[in-house]
Amino acid sequence: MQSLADDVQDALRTYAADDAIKLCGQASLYIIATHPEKVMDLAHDVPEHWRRLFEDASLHKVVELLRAHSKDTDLEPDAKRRKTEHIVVASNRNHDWLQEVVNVLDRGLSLSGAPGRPAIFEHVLEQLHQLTVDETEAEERKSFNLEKPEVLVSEYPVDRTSEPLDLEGFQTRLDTDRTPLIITGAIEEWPARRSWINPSHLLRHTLGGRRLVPVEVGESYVADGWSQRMMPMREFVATYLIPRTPLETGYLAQYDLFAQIPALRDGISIPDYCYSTPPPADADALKTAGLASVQQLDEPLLNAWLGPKGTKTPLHTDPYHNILCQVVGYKYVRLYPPKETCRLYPRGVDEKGISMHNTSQVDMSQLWKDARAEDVERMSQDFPLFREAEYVEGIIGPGDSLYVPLGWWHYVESLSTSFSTSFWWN
Amino acid sequence: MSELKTRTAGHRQTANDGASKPTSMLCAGLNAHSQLQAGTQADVRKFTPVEDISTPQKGADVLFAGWSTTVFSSGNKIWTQGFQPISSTLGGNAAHEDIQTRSVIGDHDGFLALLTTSGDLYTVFSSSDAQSATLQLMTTESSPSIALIAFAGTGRIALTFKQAPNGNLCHIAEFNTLDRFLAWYRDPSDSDCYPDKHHMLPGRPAQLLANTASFILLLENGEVYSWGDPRHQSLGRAINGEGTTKADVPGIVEALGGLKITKIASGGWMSAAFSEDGALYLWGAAGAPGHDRSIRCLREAGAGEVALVELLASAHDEPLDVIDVAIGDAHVAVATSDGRLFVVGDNKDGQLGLDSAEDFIEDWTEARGLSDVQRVVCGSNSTYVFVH
Repeated sequence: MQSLADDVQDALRTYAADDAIKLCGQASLYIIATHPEKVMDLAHDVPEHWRRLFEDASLHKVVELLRAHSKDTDLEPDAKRRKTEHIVVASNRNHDWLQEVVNVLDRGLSLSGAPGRPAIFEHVLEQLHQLTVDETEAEERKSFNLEKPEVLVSEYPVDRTSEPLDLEGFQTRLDTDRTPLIITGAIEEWPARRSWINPSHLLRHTLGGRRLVPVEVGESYVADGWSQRMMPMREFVATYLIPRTPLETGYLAQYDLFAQIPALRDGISIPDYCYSTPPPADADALKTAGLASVQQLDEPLLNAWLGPKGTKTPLHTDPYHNILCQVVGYKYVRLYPPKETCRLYPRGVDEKGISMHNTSQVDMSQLWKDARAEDVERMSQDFPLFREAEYVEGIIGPGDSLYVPLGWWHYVESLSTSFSTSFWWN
Repeated sequence: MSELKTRTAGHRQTANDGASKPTSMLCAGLNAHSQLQAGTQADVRKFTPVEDISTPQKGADVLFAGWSTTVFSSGNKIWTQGFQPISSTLGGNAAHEDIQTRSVIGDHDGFLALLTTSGDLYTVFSSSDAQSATLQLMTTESSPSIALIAFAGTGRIALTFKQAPNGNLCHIAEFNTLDRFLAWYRDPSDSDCYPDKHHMLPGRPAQLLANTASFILLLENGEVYSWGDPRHQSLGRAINGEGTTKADVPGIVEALGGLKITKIASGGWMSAAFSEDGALYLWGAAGAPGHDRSIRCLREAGAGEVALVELLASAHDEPLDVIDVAIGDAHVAVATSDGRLFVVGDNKDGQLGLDSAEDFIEDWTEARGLSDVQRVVCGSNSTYVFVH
């Protein structure tokens, strides 16, 4: 680890001629190598020069940690054998120096976006990955709960193809029909379909589950007490994914996990459908919340959705077309067309000043299955027009891809442990 | 990325009782540039006397306590400890009277400018090798007549103009950057240099301060106005709804309505005010967005509300009267009339002076071992206390 620390420190000594970090002034650069944490505390702002400062300070902190660990292990005879033991006994998490280093790296990456030194982050993460290849975790022997749910009998099912469509077939349908569609079997070739069934795959590619991921804890993003926090992947898997009845719902939602963990990106691919040409939006779809500020995308926006049974995403719209691919597990979806917006009671601005116009006030989770009479009654009183709104619904399972047209309201609830990827495009 | 650093001379320490007991200065907090204690870069985690070998400390004042530099003054002499090297005398050697400082602004690199009660503006010029810096007088006969100036962490400048002795309309100008302010100050007639914003309020300004992203103004009649970034309840007032003023325009902090406020303080995302009868009010949040620790009394206040802070010597007493308050980036220090010091908030660098290893203290805590506390000044990550 000393030579890794040396490499990183050498690389940090050089600044590009136009490096924005220089805009932060001399006082902070003067102490960045000796007091990286103090400089990280200072650099908590968005303009590039502050993110550069946070980035470099994080890497200086990593150098400090690597040298400290190296000094500790050098004191032991037979250091190599010790090192392996040290890792296998990683269940003693209080002294997991590797987790400490990963915490600084992941925080540095997520807060700074690595504007100046992405190669150093990659190099360090690769080197650290070598240390974890022989680890085994208790979680790896467990498996996800992937029980198939009851078949949904519905009067208003989402259209479904019986076979995979190619891009041409999808475009042909798009030209005449702007409604949602479930395409069966289009992602069968994805390696992820086989590898994501086991928690061990996730843990192995995240440095033994040490990489930090953002987890939403709580019923749904409109419920009281909902919060987000970063936690090691192994904590997410052990606390929220594996247990049959966890205390709280934890959802790794709407997160580009593949940008953070490039090795996982190899298991999936962008569906051809994202390269189709959608028809121009109709008058109702043009009013979709957030549409005015959205840029033309060159590449689809990728998101991972990994969670237990029972995650609920409230009825909402997105200002993009969406292909939602179900890799593992099952989800219930209900969709309402843009023309029904007036019957769906969109929210306003919340007390913190954040616009919630893309979210409906109606709590779908109470209404689609085993609905209690009093909940249905209260809903009719609070939201009288809702019951007239036309919808379609369905259950997507492993291998299915759901097309959600721009501006369509959708409610999604997981019926088992579920792993989905969404592709937003326009 | 700058911190609030504006102060009014009106609250300079004075020996009110006429007995002129010597005052000493103690400090605690971030010391990575040796700005608090020379010879070490370690945090100063308990209140320690400020050493200053080169100049006697008696009667010395802290003009500015920044992230990397502390600026001291005594009479017209100004000197620093820490990163930015300054040793200067206001008014040159010809000055016979003490020049009173009204406002001081700076950032994490150090001190930037100083405004005197007579309206003279001094800015800091660094030598080309950054080995020394001096204060240079910018004011000429054609310079605008300004009374107070403040510099927010976002880089915005706000200032108030001097008023006629019986004037009652306060004019406030805002500039998006310090450079734009200086360009206007040098040539106010150039239309390219005009202020980016202009506000008018009834009253006479007494204090103008800034924190990370907002400004706060105290008028002589005791009213308080705030404007800027409303996140984290940092304005202490509602910004939408009937009868409210938008965030980016000065609006009165109604929760303090009817009170005569004596002094305000501001820093990070918080501001405070205490009234002539010694009641202290605090609003905002300790810490940048995403920070997960919070000061309990602020957590419990709602949007548009301010927290009444009650500090007690012991559980059964009446709340103590507050005589001074200061705010850093995420910590608050309060001096009470019986000479005690109370602190709360961020203690990552030891700035609460409690000799504690805790990173953050949620509840008001007395800094024991101090008596006869007269005044308190906060830097972004440090605290200075003046005791008899």
